[in-house]
Amino acid sequence: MSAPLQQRPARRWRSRRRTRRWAGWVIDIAIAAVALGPILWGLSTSLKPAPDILAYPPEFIPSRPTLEHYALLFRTGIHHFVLNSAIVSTAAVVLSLALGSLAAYALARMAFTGKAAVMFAVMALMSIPLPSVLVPTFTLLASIGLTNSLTGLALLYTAYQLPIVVWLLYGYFGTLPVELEHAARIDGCTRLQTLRKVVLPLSGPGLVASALFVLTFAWNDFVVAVVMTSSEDVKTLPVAIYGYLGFYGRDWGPLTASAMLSIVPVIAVFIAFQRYFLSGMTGGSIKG
Amino acid sequence: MTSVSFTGVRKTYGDAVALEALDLSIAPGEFVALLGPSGSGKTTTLNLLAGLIDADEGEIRIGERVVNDVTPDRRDIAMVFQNYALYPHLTVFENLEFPLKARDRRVSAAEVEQKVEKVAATLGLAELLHRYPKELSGGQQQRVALGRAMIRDPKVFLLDEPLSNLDARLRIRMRRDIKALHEAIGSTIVYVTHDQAEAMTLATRIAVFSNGRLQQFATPAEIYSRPANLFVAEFVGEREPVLLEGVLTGGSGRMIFETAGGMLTLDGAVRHLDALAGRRVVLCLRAEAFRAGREAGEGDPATVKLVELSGPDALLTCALPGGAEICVRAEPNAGFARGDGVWLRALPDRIAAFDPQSGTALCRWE
Repeated sequence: MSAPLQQRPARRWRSRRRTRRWAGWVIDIAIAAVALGPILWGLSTSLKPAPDILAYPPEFIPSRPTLEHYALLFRTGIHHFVLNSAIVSTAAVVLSLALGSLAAYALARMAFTGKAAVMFAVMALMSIPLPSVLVPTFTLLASIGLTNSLTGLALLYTAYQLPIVVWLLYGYFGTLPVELEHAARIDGCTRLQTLRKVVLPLSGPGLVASALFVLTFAWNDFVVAVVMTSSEDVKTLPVAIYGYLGFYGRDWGPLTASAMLSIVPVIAVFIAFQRYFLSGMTGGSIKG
Repeated sequence: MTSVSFTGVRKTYGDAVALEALDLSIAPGEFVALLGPSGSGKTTTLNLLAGLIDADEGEIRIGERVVNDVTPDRRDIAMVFQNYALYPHLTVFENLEFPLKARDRRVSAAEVEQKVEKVAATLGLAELLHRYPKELSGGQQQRVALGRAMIRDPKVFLLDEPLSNLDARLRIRMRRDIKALHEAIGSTIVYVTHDQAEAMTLATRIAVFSNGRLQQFATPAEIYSRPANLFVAEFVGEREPVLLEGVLTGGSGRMIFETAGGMLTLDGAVRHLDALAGRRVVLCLRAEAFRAGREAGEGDPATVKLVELSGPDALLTCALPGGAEICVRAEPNAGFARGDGVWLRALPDRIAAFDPQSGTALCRWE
């Protein structure tokens, strides 16, 4: 008599949990569909032969898949623009991490006059909308002769992204146990060696997060590149994609194919570094 | 072996004085414990010596060299941290070789390996060289931290509560190991602790701190039996001594101490109290300052109120006829029980007297 009475609430609870799990799945799938839908549609379009692209009814999985659009892109030299984007993005990532980690370490661990002002400036810089400084930046860049150059673009991306990198790394360095740095100093490291041998190796997640911020910005940027550059040989990928839109009118094939090409490296980098987002790198160093 | 000295060293944080005019001079090869409760200035003293913080005033010397403006990496010291501060991204081997490589880039791999293996063998870490710190037990991590300090031959070893994170048994074993280590290498060691037992067993001299001031700097025996003031008397020792305020009368080795709670006859060698006859004082009465006996006429009568047995001896809490309570050590086999009558006889040279107002010691020890 008493056994079923005890079981019933448990069973009800279990079924409620199952419902909740199903609801969770449905919501997850809906969100994924909204986020991934356009990308997958673009991928599908890029693989269809030109006549099928606007056919009705549309087919999601191409019945006659082709790589002709990709072939066209490479014949017209898209790899050149991919390379430009890669050079500029890599330079921006390396520069902003190198400068940002020095600045962030000084802010996190050293006492100096004007520190609060520097922190405030870093914060304030992050809130300035990029388009509002385009024209003065162009004038500035022109006066030092760096318009229409990859160097100029890399420096600009570094400048735009440095505040967020400093801010992220400042926060991350603050979470590291300061005793490790004291130990390194006593073991004979200078401040710079301490940063290089102890702080940076333990800051993987912070460095990766910062690098991804800079990378996605630099890789995807259109507006800065289109303003600061004009000639073909320094064109970056997003600007080139825009060019395809212009040159080929409503020819969706090359357009979606180039968009796919531009997405792939960023996705690859995210997948490669996702384990660094998981923290816990400092486990075991500090007891108590 | 190097000496260390502090001359008029002062350190403040904003309005808070962390360390007040410290004068401390440590001889080469000494094992000095900086003892005190938290916030007493002992860790500040250690960090000043390590160069992790800067002094506001005064002069710090390691050997003959004034090190106030010398950065930690150039002070030629080694330090063991309370939480060990092992580099988590490096193996035990890499942790141990770190100080060698940080100081001298050109040091040969063979030499590094030889030194690491020697230290690892001494500390029983040979099997663990390729593990990461998080894969080690607390005691093993502690030994790696010690090894990283020993790998070089620094001028001074600094140890910041290195045993406080270990369990009781391991702590006592490591205490012996550290003492043996000091005797083997003979280096100057400065050791911060809040555990008076650790300080007493390890140190050749103890510096007791309170409220940012050095209270006393002396050998463990002297700190224990001849404390400079009431703070030291109360802080040092397994248990707090009984403090009784009253008036001393008599003289030439035979004195009477009268308190509100009763009267004590201080027989025998209490010559160090002679000059205090007629004065109001606080007496510090440790458990071993009296002998408890059953024979009448030996000292003062009292009644046993409480018996606490601990392996080697029994601790009696006795009440004088006037109500004052005194703790006395006794033979565990003497069979004292609650309510027994007991005779308390003061032993020579075990009782210190203090000024009731200032708390400073008044006795003249010979």
